[in-house]
Amino acid sequence: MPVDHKRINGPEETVPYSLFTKLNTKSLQQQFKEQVRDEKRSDNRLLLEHRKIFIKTGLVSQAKGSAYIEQGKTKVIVSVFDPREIPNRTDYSLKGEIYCEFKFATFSCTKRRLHQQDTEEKQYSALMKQALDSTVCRHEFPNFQVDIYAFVLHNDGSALSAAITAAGVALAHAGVPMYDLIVSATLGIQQNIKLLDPSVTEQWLCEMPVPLDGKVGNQGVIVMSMLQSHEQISQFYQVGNLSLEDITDSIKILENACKELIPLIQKHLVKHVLKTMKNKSEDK
Amino acid sequence: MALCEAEKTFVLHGVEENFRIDGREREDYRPMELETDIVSHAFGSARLRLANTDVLVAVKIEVDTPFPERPFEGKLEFFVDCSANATPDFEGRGGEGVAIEISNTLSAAYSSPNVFDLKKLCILKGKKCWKVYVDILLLECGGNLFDAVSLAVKAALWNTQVPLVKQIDIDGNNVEIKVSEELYDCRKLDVEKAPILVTVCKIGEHCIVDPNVAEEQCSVGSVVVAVSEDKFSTILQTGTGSLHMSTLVDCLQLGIKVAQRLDAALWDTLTLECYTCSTTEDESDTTCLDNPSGVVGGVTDCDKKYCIIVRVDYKDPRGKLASILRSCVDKPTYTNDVIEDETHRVYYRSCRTAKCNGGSGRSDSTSDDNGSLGDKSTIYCPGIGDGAVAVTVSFSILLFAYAFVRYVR
Amino acid sequence: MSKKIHIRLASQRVNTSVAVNQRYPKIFTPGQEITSHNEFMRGHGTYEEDTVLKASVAGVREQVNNLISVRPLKSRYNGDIGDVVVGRITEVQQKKMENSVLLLSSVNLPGGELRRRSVEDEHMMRQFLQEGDLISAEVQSVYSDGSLSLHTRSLRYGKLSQGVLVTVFPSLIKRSKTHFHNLPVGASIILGNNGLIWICPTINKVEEGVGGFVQNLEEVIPRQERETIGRITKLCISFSTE
Repeated sequence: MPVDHKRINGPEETVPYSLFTKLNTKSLQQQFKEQVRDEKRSDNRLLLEHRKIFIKTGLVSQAKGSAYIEQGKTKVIVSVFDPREIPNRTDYSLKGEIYCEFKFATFSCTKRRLHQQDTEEKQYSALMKQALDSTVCRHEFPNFQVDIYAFVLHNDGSALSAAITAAGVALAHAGVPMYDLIVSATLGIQQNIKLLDPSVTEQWLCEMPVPLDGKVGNQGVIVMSMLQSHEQISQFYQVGNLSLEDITDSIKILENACKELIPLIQKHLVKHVLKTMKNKSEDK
Repeated sequence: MALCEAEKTFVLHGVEENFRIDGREREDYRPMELETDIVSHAFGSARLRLANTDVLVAVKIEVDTPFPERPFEGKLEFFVDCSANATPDFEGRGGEGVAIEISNTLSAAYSSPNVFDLKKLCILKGKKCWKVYVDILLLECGGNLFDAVSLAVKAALWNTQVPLVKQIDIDGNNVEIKVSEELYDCRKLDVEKAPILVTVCKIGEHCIVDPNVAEEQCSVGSVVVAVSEDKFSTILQTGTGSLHMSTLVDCLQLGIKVAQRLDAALWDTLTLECYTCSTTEDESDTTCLDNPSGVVGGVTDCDKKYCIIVRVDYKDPRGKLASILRSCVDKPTYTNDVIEDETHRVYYRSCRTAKCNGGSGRSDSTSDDNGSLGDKSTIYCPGIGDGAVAVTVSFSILLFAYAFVRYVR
Repeated sequence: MSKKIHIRLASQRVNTSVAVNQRYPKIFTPGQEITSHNEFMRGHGTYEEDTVLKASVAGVREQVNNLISVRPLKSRYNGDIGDVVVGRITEVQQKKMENSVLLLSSVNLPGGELRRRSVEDEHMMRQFLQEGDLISAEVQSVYSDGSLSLHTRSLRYGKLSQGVLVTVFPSLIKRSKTHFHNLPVGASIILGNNGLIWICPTINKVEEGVGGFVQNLEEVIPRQERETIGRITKLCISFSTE
């Protein structure tokens, strides 16, 4: 996507009004208590319960493959375009390349995003590429590049995971050869409370230490992507402050979460194929 | 540079054998060399050379306004510059990918308040704060950039002197900050928990640390871990391959173990071990004077530049000890001098190697009366100058001179 | 049991230079006047300006009769016929390598000496040589633009198998009768005139009967040979940086 440098982005320094509202005066501890109460979360989920997922393929007609995912309120569109020759490359590469671009819509977060990719979005693009590099059979299209664009319409936490899962579906829809379906999950950790598929507030609260019961301890967010049938982790990213035990436990939780997602996606893809076949036979 | 299959096999078998091509074991590092305080215009700087990898880090501090959503916090920003001198691959925008990867990983690693507390960089809530720019220049790439960069960044931040704010004047919306005019009136950053990055590379069935360029090419996948004390502050998988779950856990275990050793090694190098004790004429315990190594808890890891001895003698009776102080300072009042007043003679000594302010201060010579420094002052307060090698050499000569003087008596 | 990691302070660096009081020959810098006598002839690394002979490279002066030339301390490798070179294949089409060309016609293919070199052979080339492969070869001829034509028409030359490559300045390698050495310590070394040194386990001559285009990837080199190779590698690096 070309970046328009001349676009006027309004005043350079603007602040969302929500910072000045009374909500913001609550302490972190209070906010966290509101989110997690008696093993239940604010949206009535259990701690290790994934949000409901909705997937639809073929939304973007001009793309080779596309997928739209809703994970709770998080909404992401991913489109995959036809392989094209790697631009600005002189030497021959035996393996194909994957180009990923992750972008939050300007209106997707509480704070307005800019049109240009910021460092966070660039980081997410790199993580997406990392996840998909080992998923796609890159040796099947040497010297070519597959472009994948992820666009977040609404960010309610775990946007990167949603984008990676959707990218897997979009690649399958586009018919790009893959070793396995890729699924991704996010886990937020605050002391000994682990929150699977955190919402945006939960994720924000897990990114900093919150004093609970007068103690400050481990906190962090982990994003993991898996190739389920090969039991391979293709992408792993953690921030925060966690011990080795926390992480080994989290890996197990995330693995189970990924395992639960796989049949959903398989079912959807099969459904999609059957539907297309049906449509075709009707056309005849 | 692309390796051929046979070379890769050679590297792979070497890793299996636990004898890598340069003779290292799987958990060994290549030789490292550290220099701090080398850029005079920066507030702190460090250069780290890890075999062929060369990194220069400079820290600049400026006054800024805090983020509205985090009014109590200062700012910390990393910027990586991939000089085309490092490798021809960095020409043009070639180094951009590497630069973004390194700076993002560093900011993620330093993001947790448990690791690096940004609140200490706040000057006035919501109005003024310090912004710390950490500029990283890659001078040469010989593999394992992450580890080298993180060590150099930690050393540079440790070396950083934050100016001391003396006074804040608030006049309506105008905030005026007065900074101490004394050059050495500074505050150091607290970097004790700052993370160390370790790249764990999987080659064949084994994991190695500190891969060189050839080994980086042989690896199927690697994990970069940022470790602060016994916790992970960031984990990032790099490379194009995927890892099995158990391999990932193995990598993490190895990473945390090596990072802790690396951190200890860095502290050993950064801090100066000095004898710290004192005694006066009224005290009966003279261990500090005779044998500083015998004092319980008499050795401290100083984050200062010099170990010093200050010895005060009476002029009459000549050479009678009034007090002796062994300590460490950043800027000695006198590096090596003898200052006299009406009644006392004060010997100042400073040196820059570990435990160099030791040695016995006892001498039974009292008749040496020419008033010059002579041998005597060096016997009283051993350790001269700041040259590292020179000190060890001169020290043995001093001991010899001491023995000789005694013998003559 | 792993060793403790140590980071040295730069102030503790010891200058290991051996020759401290050695006398150096005079080194000319570019633009420096060598001689103003006009009876001398202009050689490599010099230029003439107003009948004054000046150096165009930094190096030492060499004189053969009336011919004055300046030999640079470091320079790009200039090939000569008969030189042994070690190189990496950068592109397989016209069989190019660095600045040199390895022509198909000058390769000993496995399976008989006097095979007709057909188009099929050309296609087969990729099986023998690929991008990234290391070979040793001899310079067959030097073109006018300085590029080289190589051949591997001897059983000694060909693709290199397992081992370590060390790069030094080409000027440090002396031309000698043989560049292939089987060291008594249990390793072989090929000193390429272009500054690339190849160190590998002792080459067994009997096995090399196929023309040197076979790599043995299964073979595991025992620890002892590895140690020797490691030591020689370190020696080469330290000699070249001194």
